[in-house]
Amino acid sequence: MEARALRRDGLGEGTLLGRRKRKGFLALDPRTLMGVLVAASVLAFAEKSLTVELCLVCAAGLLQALAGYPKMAAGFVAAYAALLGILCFVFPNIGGVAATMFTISFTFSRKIYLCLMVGALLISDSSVHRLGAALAKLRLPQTVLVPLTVTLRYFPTLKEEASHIRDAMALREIPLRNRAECFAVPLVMSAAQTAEELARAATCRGIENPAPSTDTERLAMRASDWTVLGLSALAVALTFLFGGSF
Amino acid sequence: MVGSDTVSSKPRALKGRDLITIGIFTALYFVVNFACMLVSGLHPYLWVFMPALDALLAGIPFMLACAKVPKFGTVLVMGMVPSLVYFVTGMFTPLILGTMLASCLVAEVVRAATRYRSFLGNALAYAVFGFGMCGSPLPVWAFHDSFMAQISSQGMGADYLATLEAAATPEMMIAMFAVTFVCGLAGAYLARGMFRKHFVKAGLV
Repeated sequence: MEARALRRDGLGEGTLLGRRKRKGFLALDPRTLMGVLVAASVLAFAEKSLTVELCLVCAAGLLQALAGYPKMAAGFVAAYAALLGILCFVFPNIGGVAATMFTISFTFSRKIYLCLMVGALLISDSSVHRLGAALAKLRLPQTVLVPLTVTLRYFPTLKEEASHIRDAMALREIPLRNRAECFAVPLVMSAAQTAEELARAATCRGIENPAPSTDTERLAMRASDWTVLGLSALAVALTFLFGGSF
Repeated sequence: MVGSDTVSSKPRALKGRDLITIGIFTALYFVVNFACMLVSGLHPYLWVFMPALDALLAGIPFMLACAKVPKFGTVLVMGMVPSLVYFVTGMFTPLILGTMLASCLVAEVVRAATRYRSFLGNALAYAVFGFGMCGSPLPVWAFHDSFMAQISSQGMGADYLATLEAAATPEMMIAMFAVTFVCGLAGAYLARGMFRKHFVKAGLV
């Protein structure tokens, strides 16, 4: 009880530089979640019966809940139930163009649903910095790591920038045929500007320094991490062996 | 990976600032590509011609990145970063990853052969780069029977299957590649139009 109170106040833990507050029962390393994500994308290609699929979705939901995201877990499981309901009961009965149009998107979402669940968990549980640190520990080369983190970090800015441009465009009457150009050009301009500024800032902060950089993230594979990885591997093996049969 | 020491000694190698520039333009490419992938879910023919649509629309980020970073690896990074993200999240099959990698490599060869600065070379590289996304609808022809059986067991609608079956002719496959190539060249010319009209004036390239 006392430990929980301390945890809630952010004392107890989190006093060490780079250590995170513990959110749920399981505090997983991003590398573990990446491993689970790989397992999930392998499972996307496996043949599975409905029972197996349901078990897997529930297991992923359980993982989310244990990692401290019960709401996310509930949302994903409920959305899965809705998706399945629509695919199995609504579309076959209504038919028509709309059903054809959405069947493929829905079927595809169903196929990659596990990946979506694990991916959402990975992204909510770790910052881009933490992900980068984990990938660096996995020895992903800098040539891939730097563009990858820049890309992932740039998306929110890109979204903001796009909405600013849309606001500015809404203020004046722009002919329909010029819309695309009026949207794309400022967006690309700002992207180029950002690239320039970011590159200068990163150079000042020593991105071209050949020495390996240090990091404040504390990453460690604990017993719980290996357990989760082992269970995912087991799930993959079992699904490939028996997934279609019951 | 290449040690950092060798990176700094070779002037042609990608440096930190180049990687950042590529990263930003990759984000733009990623958005265009993702939008095309979403649209492709609506109709079988949209799916077949999704690579062409992608090639038509993504010219500006590609050509700009090539102009800003005229070195080996720009296209490779630009193609492989989104592909890896897609692959890890289950949206890419290994086949698309393979076609992406192959087309990026060929595009790099084209750029190297044309010494990175010529518009025609970059346009050609872009057109080749567009073939990477052809790996998405390619199973329709490459693994026709098993692929059809697989998607029908996944619960695709009968209408959809019938339309896709009609599209699964060899002519359609040639058309897909041809249209993608032409759209790639058109996308590059479109980008050049934008360059001349705006970006050169603004001192961007």
